[in-house]
Amino acid sequence: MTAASAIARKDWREFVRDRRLLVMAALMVLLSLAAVMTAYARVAAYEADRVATERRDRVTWESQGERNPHSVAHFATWALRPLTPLAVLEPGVTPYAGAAIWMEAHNQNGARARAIDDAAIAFDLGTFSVAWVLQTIVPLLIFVIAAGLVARERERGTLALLLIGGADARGLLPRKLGGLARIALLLAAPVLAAGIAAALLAGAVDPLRLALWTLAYILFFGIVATAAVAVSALARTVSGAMLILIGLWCVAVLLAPRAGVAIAQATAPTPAPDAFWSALRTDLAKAPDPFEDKAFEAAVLQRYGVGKVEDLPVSFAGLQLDESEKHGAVVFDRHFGRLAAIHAEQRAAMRWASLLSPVPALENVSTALAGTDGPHQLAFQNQAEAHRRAMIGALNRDMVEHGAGEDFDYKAGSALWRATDEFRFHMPNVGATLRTIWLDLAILGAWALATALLLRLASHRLARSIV
Amino acid sequence: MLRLIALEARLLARERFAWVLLLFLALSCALAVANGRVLMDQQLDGRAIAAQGDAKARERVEGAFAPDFDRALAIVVPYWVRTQAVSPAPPLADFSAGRAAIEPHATTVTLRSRVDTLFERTAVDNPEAAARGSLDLGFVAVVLMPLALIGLGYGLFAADRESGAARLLLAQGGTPTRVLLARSVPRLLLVLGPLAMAAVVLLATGPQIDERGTAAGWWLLVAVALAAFWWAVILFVNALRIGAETAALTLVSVWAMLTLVLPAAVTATAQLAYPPPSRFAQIATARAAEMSSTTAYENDHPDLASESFAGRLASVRKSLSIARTVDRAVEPIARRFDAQLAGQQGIVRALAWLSPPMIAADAMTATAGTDVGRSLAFRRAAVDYMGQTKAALGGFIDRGAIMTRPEYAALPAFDWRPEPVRPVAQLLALFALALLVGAVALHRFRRVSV
Repeated sequence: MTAASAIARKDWREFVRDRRLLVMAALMVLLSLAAVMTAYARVAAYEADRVATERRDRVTWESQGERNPHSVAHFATWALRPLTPLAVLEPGVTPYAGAAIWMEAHNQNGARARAIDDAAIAFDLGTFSVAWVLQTIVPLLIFVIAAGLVARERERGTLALLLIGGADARGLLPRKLGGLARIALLLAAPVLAAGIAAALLAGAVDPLRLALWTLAYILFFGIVATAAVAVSALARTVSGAMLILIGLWCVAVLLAPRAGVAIAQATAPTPAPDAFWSALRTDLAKAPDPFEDKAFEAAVLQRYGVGKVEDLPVSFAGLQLDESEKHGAVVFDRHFGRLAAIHAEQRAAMRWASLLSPVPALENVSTALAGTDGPHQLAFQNQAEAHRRAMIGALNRDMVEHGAGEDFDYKAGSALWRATDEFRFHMPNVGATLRTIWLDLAILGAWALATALLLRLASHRLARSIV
Repeated sequence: MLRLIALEARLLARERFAWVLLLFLALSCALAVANGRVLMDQQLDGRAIAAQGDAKARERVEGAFAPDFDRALAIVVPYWVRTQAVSPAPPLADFSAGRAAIEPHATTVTLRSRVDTLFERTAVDNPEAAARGSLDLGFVAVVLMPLALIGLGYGLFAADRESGAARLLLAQGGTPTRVLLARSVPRLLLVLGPLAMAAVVLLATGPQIDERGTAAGWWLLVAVALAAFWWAVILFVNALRIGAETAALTLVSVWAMLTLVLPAAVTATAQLAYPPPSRFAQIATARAAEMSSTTAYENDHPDLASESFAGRLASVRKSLSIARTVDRAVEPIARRFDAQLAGQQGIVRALAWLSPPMIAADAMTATAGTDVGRSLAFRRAAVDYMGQTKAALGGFIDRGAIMTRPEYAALPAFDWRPEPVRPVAQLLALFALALLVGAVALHRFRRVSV
């Protein structure tokens, strides 16, 4: 038996004998399984509901009969955000972001139907999910288990015996880390396995995303375990080590992500909703109204070489509507673009919290790979807006081409509604997703390096202590 | 006794850990104060902008009262009216953010407003920031303060028992009660001091809102009651025959169970027991109802429909009829949303009694005016107001009457004032628990440790 395996076996035996830790571990696994089942039920119900609603609404859309295209443009359609199967593992921003967008004429609407609006939260410390357990509870458990790994040996005097007996002082901590890794793996494996199984049951999972997501968490647990063993080696007593580790956990898991939000709000404050919509309305009102703009009428008459509107070979009202949409698009792009830029600045500011903890970076990686982060939400909103413009444009074009002389009395048939594309959200590919989180991956790498250096420092101090 | 407390305070001041903890708490409180002020400013600014209303819409309506205004167009004027429903500013949003940052605090009511779309244009916040949560004084009081107390108190007596110094200490200090009291006072002050200071700073620099001072007093009492509960638990664990390490582990486990696990489990239980109906189904229902009752363009642009009085009146009546059909279709679903959310709230309130941190968090957000109950009440009041406004405006169209200036001025105004919350029951419960656990702990100390 090698020294490494002997130490790992001893640590494992102590863990198993310590009923306090076993009970905590068992509770954690039960909690995780509850989280998996809850999340699976939530995502499955959501997707079934979304698909059924889209089908029902398509029937309504196609059964409109003969109507004026602009009337139909006001009725419009809805974009409903799909949830990826990986949302079972990581809900990310989805409870806090709107899931439905009304793609009507004249307006770019915000996403609404947020799950948080229909939930009475007991005390919001995060959404109950596999990712929450892995980011919050598992590190706490690893810290609690690891606190005594070296410090207890020192307290009992067995550390000195071990080192005097010829154990490699510099190799001891990596071996302790190996033992802890076995325990942590045993704790996290059922959680990960259950979560991954539920995600696979929920739909077609992108294997690359799933693999990267799992690797990110393994790296995170590595960082947590390495820091824990180093602290245990540097502390004089078990309770001292536990105190330091609980303090670190508190800063890393509870405080740092919230501190990031505080930095973000201070550096790039979100506008008040009333201010945002009021400014948008004011700008829209400032844009020239083609229904009153004589210059527009003159330009159209000149383009078609006629003297008065009644002689136009196309629907003048259709042209006015199309022009109005173009003016609107410029205003919407400006205001929603500015809002997206503020959110991007906030995202960058929230990253500063990674100086205190690897958790904000892990959150970015985890939500991005699960397809439930801010950029994915923004992609949904942008695709919905692009679809709105294409759909309203097509309806206006039909009115322009076929409504000459009739304008708003013109009626198109069901063939036009059937020819309108349904909204389909195209998830950004893995490459595009990785481009949004490369910095977070680098931060996780830097944390891994920093904790490895800390472990090395602790090893050196341990080796020096027996000289 | 005072000399003993002073001695313990001096001993505590020599511990590096105490200073690190004080710095940590001071920084957390400073961050919470900064966050609170930003949030309160946003809340007040947002309300001020909303209260101004839509000047252009008002001007347009006012213009319709001119003597030479086209009578045929005047019948459409009720559709131009835009009024505001603005909730009063929560007195302590800067103390406990609760749902303040994510809940709507104002909305515009028009004849087109519907119960399912009344608050559609309210959210522009960053969902990533919302998902990470905010650091406010409530978070410091409910989450960080107990951990700080555990850090200061896990070895309060257990460490001395382990080292064998307990008997000597009790012989010198007198009764265990005296020793524990002497040790407790400086530690509790160390933790509660920064919190109280932060509350004073927020009160001194914050806005003048009715009931703010009184609400802050209740809020602080809840924080003290929660600290008392945790200190009683710490004393109890110290009274057990266990070492400092096991005491720390036990206390951290209790903290994690009460503060992290139970709230998450309670929320999940409430949502499973009272799942909200589908928002998607609500959308589809409204659309199907609309489609079954309209095929006309005039629904969207009544002012362009016709140039005659009769034509426009017919058009707006049709629009109104369609809107009422849609209202009737979505109303049962909206009622169900309300009922399910109230059911969830009931479960959360009931199960909160299992966890003192949840009792405290609930009491703090209720006192601050940022709890789900107040949000729900505002939404209901806004929906009621929408009903009154639509009835008044729709009445002109039903009667075929043109709205006059005095009638416009007499339209209902939103005036909803929530009753201030006094968390007496929660306070009593927290203090009672603290007394009970503390009494058991002291009893054990007298029996076991001396």
